Amino acid sequence: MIRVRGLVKEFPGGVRAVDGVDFEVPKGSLVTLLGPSGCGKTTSLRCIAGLEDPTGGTIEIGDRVVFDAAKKVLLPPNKRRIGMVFQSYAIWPHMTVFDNVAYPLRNTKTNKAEIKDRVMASLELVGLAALAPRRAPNLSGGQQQRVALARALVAEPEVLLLDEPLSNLDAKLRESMRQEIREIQQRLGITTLYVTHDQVEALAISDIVAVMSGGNIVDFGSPQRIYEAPRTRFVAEFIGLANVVPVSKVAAAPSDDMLRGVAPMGPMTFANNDTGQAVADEASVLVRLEDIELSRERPADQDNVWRGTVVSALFLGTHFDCVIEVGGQRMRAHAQRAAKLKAGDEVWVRVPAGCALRLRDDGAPVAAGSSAAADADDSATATTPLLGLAP
Amino acid sequence: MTIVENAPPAQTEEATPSAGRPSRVPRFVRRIVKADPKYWIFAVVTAVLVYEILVPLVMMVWSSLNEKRPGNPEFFDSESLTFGNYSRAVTGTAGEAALNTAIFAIGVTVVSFLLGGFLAWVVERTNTPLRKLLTALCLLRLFIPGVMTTFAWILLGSPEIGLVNKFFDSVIPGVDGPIFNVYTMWGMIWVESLDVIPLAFLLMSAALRSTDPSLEEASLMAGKGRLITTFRITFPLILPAMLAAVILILIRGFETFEVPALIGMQAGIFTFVIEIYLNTNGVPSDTGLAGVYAVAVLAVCACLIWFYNRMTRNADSFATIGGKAFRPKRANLGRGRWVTLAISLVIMLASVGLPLLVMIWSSLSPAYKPMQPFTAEGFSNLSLDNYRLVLDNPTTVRAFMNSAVLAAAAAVLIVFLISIVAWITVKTKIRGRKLLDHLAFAPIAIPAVTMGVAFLWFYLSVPIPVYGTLWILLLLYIARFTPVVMRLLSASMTQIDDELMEASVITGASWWRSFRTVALPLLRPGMVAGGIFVVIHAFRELSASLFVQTGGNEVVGVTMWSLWADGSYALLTAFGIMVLIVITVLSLAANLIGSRFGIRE
Ligand SMILES: Nc1ncnc2c1ncn2[C@@H]1O[C@H](COP(=O)(O)OP(=O)(O)OP(=O)(O)O)[C@@H](O)[C@H]1O
Ligand SMILES: [Mg+2]
Repeated sequence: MIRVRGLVKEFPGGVRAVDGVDFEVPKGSLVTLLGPSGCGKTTSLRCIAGLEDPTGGTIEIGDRVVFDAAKKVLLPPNKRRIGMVFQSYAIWPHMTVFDNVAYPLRNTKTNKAEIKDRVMASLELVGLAALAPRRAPNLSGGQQQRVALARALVAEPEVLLLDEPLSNLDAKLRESMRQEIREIQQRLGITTLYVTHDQVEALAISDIVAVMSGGNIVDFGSPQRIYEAPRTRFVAEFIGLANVVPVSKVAAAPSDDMLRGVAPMGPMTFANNDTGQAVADEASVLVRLEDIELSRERPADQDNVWRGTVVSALFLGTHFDCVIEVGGQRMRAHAQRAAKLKAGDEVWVRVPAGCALRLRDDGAPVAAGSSAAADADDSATATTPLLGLAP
Repeated sequence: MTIVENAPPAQTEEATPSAGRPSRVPRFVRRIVKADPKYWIFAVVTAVLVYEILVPLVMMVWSSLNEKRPGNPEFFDSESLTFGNYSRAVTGTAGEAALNTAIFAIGVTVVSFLLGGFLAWVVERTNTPLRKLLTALCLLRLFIPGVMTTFAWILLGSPEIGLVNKFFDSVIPGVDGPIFNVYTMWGMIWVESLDVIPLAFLLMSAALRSTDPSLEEASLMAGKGRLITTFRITFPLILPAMLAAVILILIRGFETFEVPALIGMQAGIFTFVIEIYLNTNGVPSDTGLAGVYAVAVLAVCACLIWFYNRMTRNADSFATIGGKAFRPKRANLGRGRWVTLAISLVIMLASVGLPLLVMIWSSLSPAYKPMQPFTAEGFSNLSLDNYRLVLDNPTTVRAFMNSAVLAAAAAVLIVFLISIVAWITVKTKIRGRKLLDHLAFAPIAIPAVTMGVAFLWFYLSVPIPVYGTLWILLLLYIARFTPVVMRLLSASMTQIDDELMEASVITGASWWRSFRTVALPLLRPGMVAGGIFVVIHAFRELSASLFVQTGGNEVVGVTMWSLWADGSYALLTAFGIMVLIVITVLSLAANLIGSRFGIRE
């Protein structure tokens, strides 16, 4: 278990790379720190590892306090019983694969035969037993990655930390390695903190995803929850592809769970978020691309159905990636390959009410795309015909 | 923040004793005792460097302000302090010596920088043939002791017997009498410049090599010609490195001893360094005056190093120095490449070829006729007698053994000490590491002669019995060769990725184990280079050793100096050639071993 409370790291010169981070990695689970470049992921991880001295807060690993600013406790990294995989792998080039992996055991009281057994077991685990006598520089990127993992695991550390372990690999290898890492993690049941800026990787590998932005954690939950019901607009736009639609004149319909309002396309029904936020006059509504249904014929449903024009349709193999203009609002959507859409086609657009979600807009950091959203807001007020609310 | 060995368990947070609780043991003592071992090492290393560098320096300044000489029981009384030495120097010959020193140093800098810079450009940036040979010759020149090359040029350029003069006299009709006189300021500048060319060459080729060629290509793409690119892009890019090189060469000009001693004293051209030598070793000696001159040279060099530090700090803001190995574009000179080759070969002939030839010739000639002309009769006189004499002479043999022991010991100790310093300054965040960095680099500003005098006086006046033994030379060499090794090792240390070290600490390895098993092996190429540097320079060191050596602890450089002073020229050249061969073989072997076991260059 790793427990981090109020972690602050300020670099000389006043840069607050980590600004009061709280989270917990439950025993045996894999938590991902996900966020854009420069948001403080690496710094947080290095604070936990002890490679960076935090400015404030507390860190516990297992049942030990390894850092407490108020009580002046700071355990050096070599006393923390951590396994770590570095972004550059940090395989020592002057040793063989075997020596690299054996290194963590050599300063313990382990005898030679046991070292050999455990190193080979660890190499077996990552599928590299045959390469044990090889010199480290003669390994491919993926093999170095496995050696780094074997070395991190060989001493059976309390927790495993990984800093963007797959970012130096090519796309294919990345996919198979992340599956492998996940399998090994689950087999050993080791508490793991994983840093990445790749949202697909984070969703695929984690029990829990912690989304970071500007030195803070802005969302924390299961991959599915984070994807389907992101807390903030930033999270929604960072994870997956999203349309964010501005809606005005919001009212409960009929209960607080479902809301109704006026979107640029016309009247819209959508789900309220579950944070107990009161109903306000304005709202931002998230519609995931893959939830939008397009059809040539008017659907039978009446709710959330609008007519639009295809602005562009990009063929991506499995589907079309289209931009549709609906009542002045541009929306991105995926269309089936069979639909054979092309620019200028008229289509019907339907969004199932359950798939449109109100986002929290308050105080949360909003990253790239906010100015485009503001533009959309302007055009919306100018072009939306004032249709009456239909309660 | 206290570093605790065992963290309290989370459940017993309340029971943890608060750090502020009063206790009989003072807080800082507890802190020191519990401190990370790397603070201990930091303290020890700092103490060693302070003792080696600061203490003798303070001693020298004290002497310059003192009526009494070091060793005199009243030397440490504050009553004997005076500015008298300084006013005596100013009213005496200081003005003339200052002028001579300045002309000499600046002249050497201009000539050697132009020639060395030209060679560097030829080797790094043009398609001139035989570039490898030119580099090898430059390196070979580094191995030849300064007494030898200076003496060789006396044989070549003295007005009566100089071979160059004789050659032109007989070959070119109309030339009558000497066309080149080594016993002039110009002669001195010429001979010293030839000695400094390898340094200028190495500094400038490093600068040229580390310039990212894409910066120049970008200018070419922008439609600018090669000439404009050279002047508008290449030149400004390497300007800081060039100025830094100029400063290092200038310091060399101020502190050099061999040429002013062998040629300048004869010609009546006295520089500061010679004044220091004469006032220390001459009869009667005048330690006060010598101290003043030593302080003066030190002050000038310290100012220059201050500029150097500023220059190299600014150099970082240019994208010139990178870990990446660039492959700079070479200019295609067409036919012109034969011209550049010819010029380069002429420079190398003057710097390496002729001196070496003369030395070999003289070493094989009869001892009573070391400067016999190159005639058929001369050839028939050649023999290995001088070499036999060198091997039979107890002084030369002892000097060689002493130098070998000193070179090996100094190389091992410096490389070990500086590996730790480089680790601390580059890879840790210990407060005060900047101080350590400056301390290890400071001796570069201390002229060899000043350092020799400072060591002499310090160990004459304190009851540490090293004077007259090899130990004082060892201490001296450590202080003297530390800065360059510091540069080499901190550069290698910077290239080692931080994560390699962190990966070791994370596995539970102690600080010391991480240093030993990860940092040191990866540092090996830099350590080998540093070791070779120390060995080569320890063998040819003269200007500092001259002051602290006595009968019994002779070293190679000083023995050559004595052989010259005694007029045993044939012995001198034979000894020199033998030393040269040994150094060359040693460093080739070390390089081979280093690259065999090193990870990369
Ligand atoms: N040693 C340092 N000194 C000053 N600022 C630093 C230092 N290290 C990191 N920072 C700053 O702290 C912030 C967070 O850095 P960090 O390396 O944690 O980002 P990250 O989330 O890991 O980004 P990336 O995905 O690019 O690796 C950045 O703004 C960075 O510039
Ligand atoms: Mg990072």
